[in-house]
Amino acid sequence: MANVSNRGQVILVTGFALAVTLVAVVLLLNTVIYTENIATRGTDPSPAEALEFRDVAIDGIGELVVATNQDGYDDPAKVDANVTAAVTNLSEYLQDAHMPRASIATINTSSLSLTDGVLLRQSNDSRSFTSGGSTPGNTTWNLAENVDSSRRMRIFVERSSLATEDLLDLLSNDVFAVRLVGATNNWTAYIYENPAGNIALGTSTNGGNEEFHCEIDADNATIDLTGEGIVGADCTSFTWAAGVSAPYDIWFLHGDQAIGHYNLTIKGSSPEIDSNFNSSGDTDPVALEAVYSATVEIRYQTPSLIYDAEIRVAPGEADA
Amino acid sequence: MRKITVSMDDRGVSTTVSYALNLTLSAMLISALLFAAGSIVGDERRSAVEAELEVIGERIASGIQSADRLNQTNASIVNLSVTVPERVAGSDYTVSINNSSSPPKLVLETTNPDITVRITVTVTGQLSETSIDGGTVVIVLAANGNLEVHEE
Repeated sequence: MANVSNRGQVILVTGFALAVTLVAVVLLLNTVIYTENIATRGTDPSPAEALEFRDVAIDGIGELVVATNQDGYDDPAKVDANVTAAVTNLSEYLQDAHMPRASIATINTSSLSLTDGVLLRQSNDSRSFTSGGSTPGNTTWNLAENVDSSRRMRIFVERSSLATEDLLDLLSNDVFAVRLVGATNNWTAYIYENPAGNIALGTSTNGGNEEFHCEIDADNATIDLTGEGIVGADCTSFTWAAGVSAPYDIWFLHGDQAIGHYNLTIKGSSPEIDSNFNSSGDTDPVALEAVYSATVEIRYQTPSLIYDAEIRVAPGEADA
Repeated sequence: MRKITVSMDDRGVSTTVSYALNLTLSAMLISALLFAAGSIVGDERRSAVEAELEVIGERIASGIQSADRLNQTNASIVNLSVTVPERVAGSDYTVSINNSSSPPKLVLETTNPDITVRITVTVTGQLSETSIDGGTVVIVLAANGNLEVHEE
């Protein structure tokens, strides 16, 4: 008689083999689930946060430089010291803000390097853009000579003060304009009221090529000449100092055809400022000691990222 | 005593034949079953490896592109690690960067099963050619300004 305990061995072995196969399939499905899990996870946010920190540092230091310059200093050492102190405060604030996110975000204040400049400013809204200083009242006058770099030229004008002209009459008639005179080319930006009654921005190069850029229907407007043009209007075709290479002279033409205020920062510890500015005090227009640009190293560090970079801050610089 | 005739030799044969047939059919059935199960596992493994290599490749490519973006900002140090598994569905794999095409390609390969996955890496800067074993990688900015991919 056959030994019954040996029967069904083939089926048993097959059952085991199939069970092993099924376990293998389950393991593979587990791998697939894990893969899908990785695939749907967000990528490491550290690089985006590092760039965000960099942008915050640039914007923050830029605001500090602008605000400190506006305080009005007659000694470059004082304005430098105040900017350095403000950047140190900003660094501490940013460090504290990033600590809960398990990241180290520092501005290396010991590497802070400041480039001095001069802020040319008129803040009296009811004064026309004529010269001051020792030669007051000139309508066409030189703001600065041999300028290497200039930034943040913002002009606020009242529409009622502007000359009403057609684009083609800009060159021949008395219209307020900012002119840059380089070694070979010159470029002029006209700010005027066009026949439609809007504040308009036009340019010409080398005494021709009149070009209209944009307009805005408002009682007053800020024109960011080193930036976007008329603030709030679409001035994409406008470019500061097109075709003019540094160094250049900066002129105001027909300053009596505009009333408002303006700001301009130019590079250099003792740039050639004409005697058309007052050196300090409240009498407009005034030339004040300022910081033109700041350069500093930053670091952003998380468990998965180390990022060191040098940033240069020159708020409102045309090519910054 | 009864005489046994020749025809009576057939008795019991059907049981034996039936048993043999039974065994044969069972063996065929079992073989077919095991073969089918084995190929399912093989196919599943291939597709699992391929899917995982693609995901790993995309993550490394994303890390390289992030590092490239950081490198465009006047950076002096960029050191970015991307954590990925060391093995895919039980197989080791290699990660290499192929600069011969533009934009460069990230190539991930396993030898068992033999699978190759290519991912395009769009970068603005330069990427150094390399070949490393799979696992967490570190993307660093080298002194020559190129981005390099290393094993952790």
